[in-house]
Amino acid sequence: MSMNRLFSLALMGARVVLLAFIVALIIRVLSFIPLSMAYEDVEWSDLYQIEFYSHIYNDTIPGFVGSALWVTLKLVLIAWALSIGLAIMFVFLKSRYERLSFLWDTVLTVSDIHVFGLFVIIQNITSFRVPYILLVVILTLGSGSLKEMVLSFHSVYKDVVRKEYWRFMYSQGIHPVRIGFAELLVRFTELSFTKLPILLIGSILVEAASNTLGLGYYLLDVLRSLENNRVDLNILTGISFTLILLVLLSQKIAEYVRVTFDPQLQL
Amino acid sequence: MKSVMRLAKVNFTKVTILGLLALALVSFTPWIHSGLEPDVTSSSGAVKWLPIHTTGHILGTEGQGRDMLAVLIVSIRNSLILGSIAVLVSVVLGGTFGILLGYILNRGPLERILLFVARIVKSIPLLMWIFLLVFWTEVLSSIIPFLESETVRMPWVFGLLGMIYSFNLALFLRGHIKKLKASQFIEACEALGLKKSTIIFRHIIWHCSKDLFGNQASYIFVQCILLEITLSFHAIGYGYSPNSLSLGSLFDRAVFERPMSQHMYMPLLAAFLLTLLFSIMAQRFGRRLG
Repeated sequence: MSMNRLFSLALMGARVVLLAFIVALIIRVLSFIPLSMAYEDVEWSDLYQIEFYSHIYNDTIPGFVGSALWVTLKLVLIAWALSIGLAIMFVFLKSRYERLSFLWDTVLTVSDIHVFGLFVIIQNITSFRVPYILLVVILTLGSGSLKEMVLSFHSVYKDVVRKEYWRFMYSQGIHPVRIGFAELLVRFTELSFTKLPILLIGSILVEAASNTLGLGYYLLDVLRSLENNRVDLNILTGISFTLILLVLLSQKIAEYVRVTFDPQLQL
Repeated sequence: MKSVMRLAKVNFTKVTILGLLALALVSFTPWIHSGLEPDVTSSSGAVKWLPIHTTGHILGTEGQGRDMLAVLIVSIRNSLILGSIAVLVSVVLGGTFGILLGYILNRGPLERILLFVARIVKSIPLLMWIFLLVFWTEVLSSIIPFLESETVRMPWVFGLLGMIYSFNLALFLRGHIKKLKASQFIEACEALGLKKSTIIFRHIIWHCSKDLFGNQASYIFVQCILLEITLSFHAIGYGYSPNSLSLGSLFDRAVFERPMSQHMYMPLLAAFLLTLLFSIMAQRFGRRLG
């Protein structure tokens, strides 16, 4: 990797961190205003004193957010991998058995069931102890990431096989997957990263429903604590910053993959 | 029958909108209002969940003895009202911002400011926005009594959600208008000396952007239906109270009192069907938009 590329990557990372920090600060200010209007004991120092310590949880914020982030990331990344695998399988099935497309579409409409609905059904089936892997399945299906991925992957696949180079090489007897592999890989990777925020947001709901101590669970807990006048904006800023950073990072990575590796853009 | 089905398939969007409007109108009829009166059937006067096909109640009753069908119809209407508020705010604001960004402002400071605000707003996920909005509203309700009632609070929150979503719509519209602006027919309109307002509202918005608005409005409806259930669920606890007439509170109550029963599935199924209808509508608008 050349120095220029490394430098542009570092610059992109710094810009993402800065934007996430600005947005987290805006959330801090916007949360402080109603709190200061509603409660008399809220002081201006609560707004501008940024500390790395949470009074609600009596813990350092980086350590606390880090452990919650690990829980969320584990859940989201496994669900992401599952979504990609299942989406590729569905695209294969949809193109191989086109006549049965109604069947694949019916399976995908499960995504339209609310994530809490799926959770309650599975909770009752498993006698109220939902295994971790089923939480991943609930997140994959309920957040709608699988459906979104299948729709985008399928349209990309159809777009690629319509191209002249693909049709020419197919007529020469080369295996369909080998022909468009480079293009499909880049575009699938880009699309997968754009769908990551859907899973991150879905994880908030899954964590809240299953009491998994991740970022989503703590976000709700912090908001409830603030509502009960236990003013600690530092932890809200920390969690907001982390969530927004993850969303922005996944968007930027998708953009970077497209710009750097897309064969069409390199021509 | 076949021709009716074919007609409904071709005019799916119109049929769906008319059907939902009819359902909303039905919810105001005296029959529905009488169904909302608790039906205490047992001798002890205890309220209970009656199963499907009970005499006088096609879908049974819910925990307070109210007719399930009537409750579902009113709940669907309430979800549609919340969605309509969000759509209205979003279309008005998003349309205005979109036109400003795409047609009127040309790389000026105002355009840069609007784009920066849109970028900031878009970087916060929608679910996080709604939690923050509800939290701010809850805190403010202690000093503004007007916001304490949930009949005001929920439309207020969904109106704010529409405002947040308007930036998304504005960015889509901006791109769409920029593309149209480069097309020959807009150049021809300008060369013919048509008024700017005519070009914007008649040619750009009415003739060329209807499907974009339809697509986004359907998508907002889907989000609103899902968000209402999310907020009313006990794990979140920011939405309607348990005895309210909403799909979310009905589902939440059934989860507690009648888990895995037909009563739990009914609001879930209603929400599922509504979401599916709006998703199909969004897809159809999207396809027409190309």
